[in-house]
Amino acid sequence: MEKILRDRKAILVFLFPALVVYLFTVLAPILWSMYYSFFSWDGISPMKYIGFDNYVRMLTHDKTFWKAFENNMVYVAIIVFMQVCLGLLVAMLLTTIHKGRELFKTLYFTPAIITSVAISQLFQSIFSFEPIGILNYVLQKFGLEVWTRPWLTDLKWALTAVSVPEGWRFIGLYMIILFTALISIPSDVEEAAHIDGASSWNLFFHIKFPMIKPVLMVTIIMATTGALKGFDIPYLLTNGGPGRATELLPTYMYKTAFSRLDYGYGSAMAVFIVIESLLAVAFIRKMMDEKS
Amino acid sequence: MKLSRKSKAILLLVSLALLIIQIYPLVWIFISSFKDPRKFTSNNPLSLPSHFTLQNYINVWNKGNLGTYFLNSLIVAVSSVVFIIVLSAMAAFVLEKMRFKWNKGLLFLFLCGIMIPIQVVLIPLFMIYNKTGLINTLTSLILPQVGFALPISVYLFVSFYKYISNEIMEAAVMDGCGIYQLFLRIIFPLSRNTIVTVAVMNLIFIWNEFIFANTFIHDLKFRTIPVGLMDFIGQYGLTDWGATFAVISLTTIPTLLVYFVFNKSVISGMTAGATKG
Repeated sequence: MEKILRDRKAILVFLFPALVVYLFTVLAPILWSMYYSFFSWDGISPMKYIGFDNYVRMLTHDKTFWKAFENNMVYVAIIVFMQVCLGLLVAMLLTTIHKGRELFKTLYFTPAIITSVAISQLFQSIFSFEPIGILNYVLQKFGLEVWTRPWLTDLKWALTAVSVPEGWRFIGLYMIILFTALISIPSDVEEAAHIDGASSWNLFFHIKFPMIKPVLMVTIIMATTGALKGFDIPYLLTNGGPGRATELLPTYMYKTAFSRLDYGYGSAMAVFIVIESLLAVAFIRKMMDEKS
Repeated sequence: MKLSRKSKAILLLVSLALLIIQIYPLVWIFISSFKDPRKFTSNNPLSLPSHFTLQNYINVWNKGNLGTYFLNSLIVAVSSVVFIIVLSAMAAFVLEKMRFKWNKGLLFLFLCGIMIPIQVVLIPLFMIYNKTGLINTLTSLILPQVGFALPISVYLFVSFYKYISNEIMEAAVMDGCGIYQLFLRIIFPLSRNTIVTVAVMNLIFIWNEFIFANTFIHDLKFRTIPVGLMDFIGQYGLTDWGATFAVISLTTIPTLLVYFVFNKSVISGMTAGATKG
């Protein structure tokens, strides 16, 4: 058996196809992006080597880049709040329900399997002002006329409006992760607490909450890295507008490369996004290590 | 938890309200797709269709491209999934079961891919595709779909193989199985559940994928469904809402069917993807 498992040729046959595809479509392009980021290049005329100029331009001169970075942080904050806090709330509620739990989970998860294009179109219509969309209609019916507005073109509210759909569609995903953590708490812990006279509220805050903290930490960071890559919905809903109000790093990078054909500069931003994500991973690892 | 009847009822009501917020918008798309196309400018977006009409579906059909988009999406999704399963099942077998110097290192290399944002590969792939003539072909979509699905799929297979005991493999080898037969006759058939999870999860992801399709395909005849969904946005940003909702409803039905039949696998696959970082 040992001999069979050391069969070099078999190892190559099994591993080679996956490795080639992975190298060609994931790893090599990352290196290529890094390489491109040192050039000024429109895709047609010859590439011109400019050293770190793209990075200098990005970090020191480009106001839009920093605006997009700032927007990205707000976008991440809203999404993490929705996915983790609301997810936890629903998960807690679900632990009190017994009948129909599976059905509830299945239904609640549904938005996660719908394409982002459809989600964007749905919210385009929900946020609409003229003709009146669901949100403004409901506000009107509740006598909150002053609150009705064209959400997606309102300078102050557009960023929030663009963040909500992405947060909303994955609440179910995080709810299920947190729910699994909550029900895996051994029931004798709960019983012991009850015998000691702990109220439900105390039980949650002092006993359950600390026990699911590691999972909570993971979900926070996963939601963060997920949101850092956010592209589809902001791109489709507002494409960065009005002005630069909803510009995010991925949308700005995409436009720089594929609309303005500034491939070198776009690549520098792509590299920045990777570094940002990797820093988040390092952060996760550190958190995980500290906990164990 | 011991709760009084009254607080139980309140919690149940709150849960139901939250559930409605989560799924009503989707239900609303289906309801609205049967509305009279002219009624979308009316003052009540929540109104039920005053009379049930299939006009939107007829409009969608008359536009004529939907069949092509369906076919393209189907080709891309099915071929990607076949490649993903075969490649990741084989690679995971080497990484978990075979004796090989770089097992750990290569597994780590694959797992890193889970964190890579796909935006970073767009420009280089676009350039390579332009040079090799792959741009504007379905292959240009299948390749990166497979590449980006490999990390999580390899991870799922590796996690499953851990539970396959060495005795089973040893018995098979005693019976005269070679390494290829061992994989084909024993390991692969045993991983049926993992295969289903990897397949349905990726089917849904790939069916819904937008960025690659929007970047690499310019030709109408190679468009997939997500990009095709935008056909009903007019020149001045005015959307034919009736048609849009009808086409969303039509193209979401296959995803929903897969989801409702295999919901446990879909959910477990997607949560593994989210928690594994």
